[in-house]
This record gives sequence, structure tokens and C-alpha cells, in this order.
Amino acid sequence: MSDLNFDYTLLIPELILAVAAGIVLLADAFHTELRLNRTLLPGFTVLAALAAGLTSLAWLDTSDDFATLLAVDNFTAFFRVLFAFTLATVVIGSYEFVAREIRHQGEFYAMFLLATLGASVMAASQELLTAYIGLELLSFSLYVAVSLAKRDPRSGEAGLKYVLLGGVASATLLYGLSLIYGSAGSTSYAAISETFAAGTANVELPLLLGLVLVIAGLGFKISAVPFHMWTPDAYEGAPLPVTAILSATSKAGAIALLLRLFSGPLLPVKDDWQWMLAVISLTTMVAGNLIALQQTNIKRLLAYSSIGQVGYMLLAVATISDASASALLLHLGGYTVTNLAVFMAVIAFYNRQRSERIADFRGLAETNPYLALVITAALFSLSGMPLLAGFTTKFILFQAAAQDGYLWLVAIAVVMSTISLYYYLLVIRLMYVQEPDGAPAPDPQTGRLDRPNLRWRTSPASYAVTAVLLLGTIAIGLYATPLLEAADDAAAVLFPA
Amino acid sequence: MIPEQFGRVGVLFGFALLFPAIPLIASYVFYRLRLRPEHPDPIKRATYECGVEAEGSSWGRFNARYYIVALAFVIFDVEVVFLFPWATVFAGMGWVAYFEAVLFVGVLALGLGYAWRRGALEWR
Repeated sequence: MSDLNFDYTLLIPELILAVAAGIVLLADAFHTELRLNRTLLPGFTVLAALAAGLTSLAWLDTSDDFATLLAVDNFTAFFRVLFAFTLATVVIGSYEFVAREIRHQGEFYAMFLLATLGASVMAASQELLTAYIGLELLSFSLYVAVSLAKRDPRSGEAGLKYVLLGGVASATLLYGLSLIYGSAGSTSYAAISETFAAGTANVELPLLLGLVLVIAGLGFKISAVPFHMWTPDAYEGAPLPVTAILSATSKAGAIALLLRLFSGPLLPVKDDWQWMLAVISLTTMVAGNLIALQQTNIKRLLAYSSIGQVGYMLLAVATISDASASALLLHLGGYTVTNLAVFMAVIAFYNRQRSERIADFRGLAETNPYLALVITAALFSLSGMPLLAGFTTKFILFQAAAQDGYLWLVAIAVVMSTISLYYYLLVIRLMYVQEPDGAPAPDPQTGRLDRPNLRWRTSPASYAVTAVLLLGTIAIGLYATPLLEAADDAAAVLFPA
Repeated sequence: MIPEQFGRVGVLFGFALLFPAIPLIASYVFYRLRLRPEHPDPIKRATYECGVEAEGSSWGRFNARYYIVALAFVIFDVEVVFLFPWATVFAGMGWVAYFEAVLFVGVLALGLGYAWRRGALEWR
């Protein structure tokens, strides 16, 4: 008992998030007694996110663990900063949306803080049950957050679907973890790795069952095909900021857990699971990109596009190595920035136009050229156009995967990437080529176009946040070295040389 | 080795399915053979509720408001689940364990206070 390291200072970023969530909840409940203005809640949430992100920098280039349950190293720091950045960005970009659409604001922000906390625990965990608890904290917070737009019946429907299917997936995952525990005799990653490295002849059957169930359970959380059915409905029904968190924090957290799990304890049994992940990666990127072709709602389009992106990420997990883990982290960083840029721009669009139909983006270049530019750059980046983040990160990712012998899968990924360009271009064409609604036709006699001024402005907060994300997307595309170094340092923890 | 273990569990599972089925089938067969007397009366046909008289129909509806009370109950449920194991090691660990438990109960109390404030305990 006494030889375990109970150094609570290691958990300061997590403690900040937990305490902040409690304060936000209570401040919202008792705001009349405390004479608090509820508009302070988003500001406080951003402060907490920044504090958690900055304090987590204190453990850069160190390696420590809390009671062998949570590791605090470069990998953890990478994800802590990523999650804190995501939280701060989403809250700044969406506080106007939340103030108008969400009645229970305190609960909304508290759920975001708790989801971030759960994702950090997932990225840091060194033990199966701790990882599971982190995952449940993330999922439960999101179940609530998805259904918080109480005026919209779709939100309740999405929440119910998400909680029912998510509960089944969690049970599947837990059963899988118990089978792995049964075949390894321990829940600690280090001990499992040792046991499996010594040979698994006695436990082939439960181990294989356990792997199938774990991959199914985690596949649900990252919405890999064929476990993706909930994704479009939950994305469509959830309030927009929650959709952003679902596609950024929730996915990145599950990917972090996958990386820790498959690069450590399950690495000795790589032959058993590699083909499963390769097949799932294939189905995910093919199905995600092909179904995205026929969507009419921007949230559903982004849902299927994110499924396609998960396919590329699973490609890197299937070919796990030092290089592909680092490439995956880089891609995850670039994807998060790009994806948030789309979502923040769509939130700004929704605040004004109250619509999420793709058809309503018609003529956005005329009515708000800045937003059209942000969405265009981000969509191009998602499809992997050069000079933007998506190209650099995807290039390094595919290169790493190809070197590990999955050339045929990489070839399919490149083809799918090209297909994705088509549906992104459909949106871009609507914005730039088509006339906005309400624009009059040119005068038939003179041919002159006498158009009313349809321009509208973005609010300063969403202007600032989209500008930062747009610059980030371009910066990663042109000069990815800093992020690549951070990803290298983080991946080095998983594969100590 | 492992298939054998699953096999044992399978035998137990099959037995668990058969065990309640045997008396039901036997009862029906004896009834058909007219070995079993049949004198139904209301007490005999009543649902067994641990000796308490059953109230109303089993298809009766519950008020949806009970679910909030059930959620608040989870607070106390969790408290008990963790305080019992804590109590067994408390003596050996001293003040650290005491303050850890105080912190834990304090968090749960905050939760209860929150639910109270949001009107979860009012029957509206």
C-alpha cells in the first residue's frame, strides 16, 4: 500500500476541471442567493479549461504515475492540452448559441467540463477499470448534454438513442475487458503486457472473444462502421456545440484509449487483433465517405465525414508502430483544429440563419464572405488539399501506414479521400456559385444587377475563434514541425526505445 | 482448458434453465393424468408477494415522478456501498481515511443539495 505514489499534485488539471464543474453547477442552482450573473458561467468554464491546459504543461518531458493507475507523461500532456483547447474553443464559439437555445446553462457547461475530465482520465489511464471509468464519465456527460436542447424534440430522441445504444456498447466493452482480465490475471497494463508476452497458448479463446468485444465497444464510441448507426442521429439531434464536442473530445479520448491499449498491453498479441482493425478501418472509411455523398443536413454530412476520418485513424492503429502512433497524434491534432473550425463557423451561421440544411448555405460567399472562407478552407483541409492541415497530416499518416505493410489499405484510403472531396465541394459550390436567397434576378432590359445589401456580420467572439482556428489550419498545413515534434514526444512514451 | 471451463458454466446454465421448468411440466402432466387435485380459490391464485397482500393489478401504472426520487436514492446507495468497505479499514488508517470519507460524503451532500435546490424532492 505504502509503496504506491499518492502524489495528488499530479492530478491538478483533472482536479481543476472537477472542482470547476461542481462550482458551475452550484453557481447556476444558487445564482439568485449569490447574486450571480449567469452570463459569467461560460467565462468561468473557459478560465477553468485554460488553467487545466496550462498546468498540464508542468509535466512535459517527465514521466510519473499516480498509484500505477494514471500515467502523467508527454502522451497525457498532449491530450490534456488538446481537450482543454477543444473545450475553451467550443465554449467561446458557442456561448451565444447556448444562451439562446439551452435552458439549463449551468448543467450544460458542467457536462462539458466533466466530459473533458473523463477524456483526460482515458488518455492517462494505465489500468483497464480506470480507463473504463473515464470512458463512462465522458459518455454519461455527453448523454445528458445531447438531450439538453429541450425545445427541440430531435434532441430528446437523439439522447434516448445515444444512451440506449451507448449503454449496450459500454456493457460489451466491460465484458470484453473482463475476459482480457480473465486471460491475463490483472487489470494493470504493465502486468497484462508481461503475461501476454510470455505466451497466450492457454487462453486463446477468451482472449480472442475479449478482443472482439473490446473492439466492438470502443468501435461504438469512435463510431466505426458497423457500430456507427447512432452517430448521424445523435449528431443531428444534439445541440451544435455538443456535436462539436462529440466529434472532437469524445473521438480523441477513445483514440487515446485505443493507442494506450493496443500499443501496450495488447501489443504482444498483435496478430490476433491487427486484421480486425484493418477490416473495420476499411469498412469505416468506405461506408462513411459513400453515405456522406447523399446528405442534406450539414450535421449529418459532418457526422458521416467524421466517420470517414475515423477510418483513416484506425488505419494508423491497425499498423501500430512508433511512426504511425506519432502520425496519428499529428493527424488528430490537425483534425481537431479543422473540425472545430467547421463547427464554429456552422454555429455562427446557425445563430443568424437558424438553419442546418446544406441548401441554405447557398450564396454564403455573398452574404458573409468571411464565414464562407472559413468553411471552405476547413472543408478543403478535411478532404486533404495541399497547403492546409489535412494534407500534411494525412500525408504523414498514410506514409507511416504504408511503411508498415498496409499498402492496399492506404490505396483505398487515398481513393476515399478523393471521393470525400466531392461532397465537400458540393457545399463549397453552393456557397460560391449560387445566388443567396432573396437576391433579385438581373433586370431583363439593362442586364444590370440591382441587389439589396444582404451582408450580415459574425459576432466578435465567433469571429475571433474562427480566425484562430483558420490560422491554425493554415499554419499546420504550412509548418507542421512544432505539432509533429509534440506528437513525436507523446508517441515516444508508448514505444520506449 | 478454457473450453472446459466454459463447458462447466454451460452445464450450470442448462441446469438453471431446466430446474424451474421441471416442476411446471410435472404439474401440468399430473393435472392431465388427473393425479393432481384441482380446487382453485382466490387465496391460492393470488400473486405471492412475500406474504404481503398484493395491492391492485400488476399492470398498474407508476407515476413518472418516482424516477427522480429513485435517482436521489442512488446518492445514498453509493454512499453505503463505499462506506462499508471504508469502515473495515478505517481503524488501521487513522485521520487520513477519516478526512477522505468526509470529502466523499461532502461531495455526495453537495449532490443532494443540488437536487434539493432544483426541486427534485418536491412532489409537483
